[in-house]
Amino acid sequence: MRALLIARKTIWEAWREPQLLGVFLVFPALMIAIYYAAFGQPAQSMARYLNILIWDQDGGAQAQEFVGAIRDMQFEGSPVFGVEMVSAQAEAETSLAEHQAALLLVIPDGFSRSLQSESARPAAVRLVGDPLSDNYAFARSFLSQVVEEFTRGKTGWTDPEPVRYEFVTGTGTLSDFQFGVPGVMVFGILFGVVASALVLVREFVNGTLRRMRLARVRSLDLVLGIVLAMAGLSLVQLPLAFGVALLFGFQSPGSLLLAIGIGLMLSITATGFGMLAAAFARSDGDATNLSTLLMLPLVFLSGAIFPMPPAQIATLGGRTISLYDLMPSTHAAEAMRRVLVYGDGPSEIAYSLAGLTLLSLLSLAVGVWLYQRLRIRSNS
Amino acid sequence: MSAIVLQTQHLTKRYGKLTAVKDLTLEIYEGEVFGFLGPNGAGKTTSINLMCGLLEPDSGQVLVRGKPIHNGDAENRSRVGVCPQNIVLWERLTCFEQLQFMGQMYGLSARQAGQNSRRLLEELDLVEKSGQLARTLSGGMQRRLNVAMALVHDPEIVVLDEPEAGLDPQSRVKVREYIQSLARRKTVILTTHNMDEAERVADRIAIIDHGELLVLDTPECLKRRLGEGDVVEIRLLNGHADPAGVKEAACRALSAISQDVQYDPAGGLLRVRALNAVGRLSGLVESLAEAGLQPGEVQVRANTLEDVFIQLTGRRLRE
Repeated sequence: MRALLIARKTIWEAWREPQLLGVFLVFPALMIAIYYAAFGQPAQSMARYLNILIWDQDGGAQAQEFVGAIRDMQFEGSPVFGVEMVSAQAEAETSLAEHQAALLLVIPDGFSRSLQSESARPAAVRLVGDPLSDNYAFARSFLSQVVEEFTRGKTGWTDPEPVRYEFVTGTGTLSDFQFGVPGVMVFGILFGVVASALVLVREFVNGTLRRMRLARVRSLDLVLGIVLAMAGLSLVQLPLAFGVALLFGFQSPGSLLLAIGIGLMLSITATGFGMLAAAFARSDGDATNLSTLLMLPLVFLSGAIFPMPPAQIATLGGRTISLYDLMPSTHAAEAMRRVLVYGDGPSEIAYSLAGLTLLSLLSLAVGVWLYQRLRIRSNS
Repeated sequence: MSAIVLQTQHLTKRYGKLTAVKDLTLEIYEGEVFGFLGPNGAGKTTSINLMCGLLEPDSGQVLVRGKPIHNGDAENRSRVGVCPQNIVLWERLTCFEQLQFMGQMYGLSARQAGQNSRRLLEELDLVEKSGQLARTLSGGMQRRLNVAMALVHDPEIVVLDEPEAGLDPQSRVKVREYIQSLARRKTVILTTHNMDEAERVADRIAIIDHGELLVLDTPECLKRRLGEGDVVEIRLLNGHADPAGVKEAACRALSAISQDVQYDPAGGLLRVRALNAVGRLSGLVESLAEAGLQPGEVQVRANTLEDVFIQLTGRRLRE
């Protein structure tokens, strides 16, 4: 009951602080609009170096020339692709599943012959990958252009694009906008780190925390109150961002309710990290700086905005555990993307949900422990 | 004799090497206004924080209605309402919202908390500001709301820590009248370094310095302890030359009038306590002149708590 009252009070206060509320609620919607402007058109790549696998079934001169062209591709003076040749699709699938390679390019038997014959349609190359991988989306964007240019240069063939896309799992084709929206939503929720740090540091600095302690408000009530308030604000923020995304043509086959559930769980992470910042901050400025310092790696190392290079640390039950998997936001970004972009349900994202839940609760526990130790107890 | 509502028993609190409160033992009675007087840093606020259960003592205990406040039940601790020295409000809540919120935090129903809030807003002349955010109130209004926050759960004991600090004259009168109106209805514990404030509103006064209780009595009894009579303050025009000689000469010259002569060489101020001081003023001045001392400005006044404090500590309250 007290927790609900604290949550209501916190929401009232936030509602009356337009700057903070604006940043928290409107940021993801605004970011989606910017994202659309930047990436809403046919896909472009931000990647500088992507590992790809090539299975050359053809072995002819044209195929080798094509592989050479791919190796020679440069972006700002650096090669775009790291190329590894394989001799069977099975050999590639493990690397693809573990996201060690962005995709497998299969040059079919007869590729060279088809390019030498002016009348024949060029044999279509196959791009095989896991559409859940960010790197796949970037590599595919680059390679489809390379294939088109190479075949057009050899044969003059323009239509249709001599590429077949095959997915390890998933559906359809993705634009970067489509791919990026869930990450932006994750970014928006993680702004809760700053918002909750500010709320908590003000309770301490203004002495209102002490006032509540005088009324024998338990730490649990306070923590639950802040968690509920942040979750409540996320409940406004997420549909708003989703609505803006839909306006710009975002198509989601997934469940918005499930995405909101993921967002709410991530808001617990945000509150936990906010408490951690508030435990060490002594002013609004401190709280903003510290919480931003905590928020940025959570956002940018999670793959929410752009893909991260592989950083495998272990394998568990056939699944690669990456260094980034230690962050709840990585699981949230993955789960949000799978739900909103690929329409996955709870069973398909069970691993991410479990990771997100576990790490969110752990973040909250650490934040509560520190805030209680350094602020609540020191205040009584 | 009224019942004891709050007792401290050998209360001690240390911060490292500093003993903020040392072996404080006192009893506070139902319905009285109890003043805690002392200079800044004397240990008043620490004592208050111990009494309301915000601080844990290193030794000793605080009993409210005979039950320990530390590690006691929440209901017992809710008998105490505290108005801190600083203004502690939620800037972005309205006056009514924060009163009702605090009432509910103390376990009142929304209805009861609302009723209490409206009553307090009325009593403290804030009813017109009920829907206004705290941050938009004037300093005086904020301080009155700060007082109301301590009372919203209708506590039996109200602790007011420097309630008049930083108030404009109008708000000071309002707050003082309100404190006086609380007397008998509630037990009020008041900390202050303002002698006037303490003397006007307190039934009993404890003077504390360096964490130690120096005296505890009614204002009248405290002043009587200094002796009967009034205080004559005489500024000597030639008092700076030889302080020891001046004091000796003054004591000798006034021996027939008073045995209580003090001399403050810094201000050249001679302080003489004497019965019927007004009637004996001319004789007093003549005696000094005959002794070669040159009396300048002369003031006669009644004993004050400041005199009590100076006698107890050897310094003025604000030093």
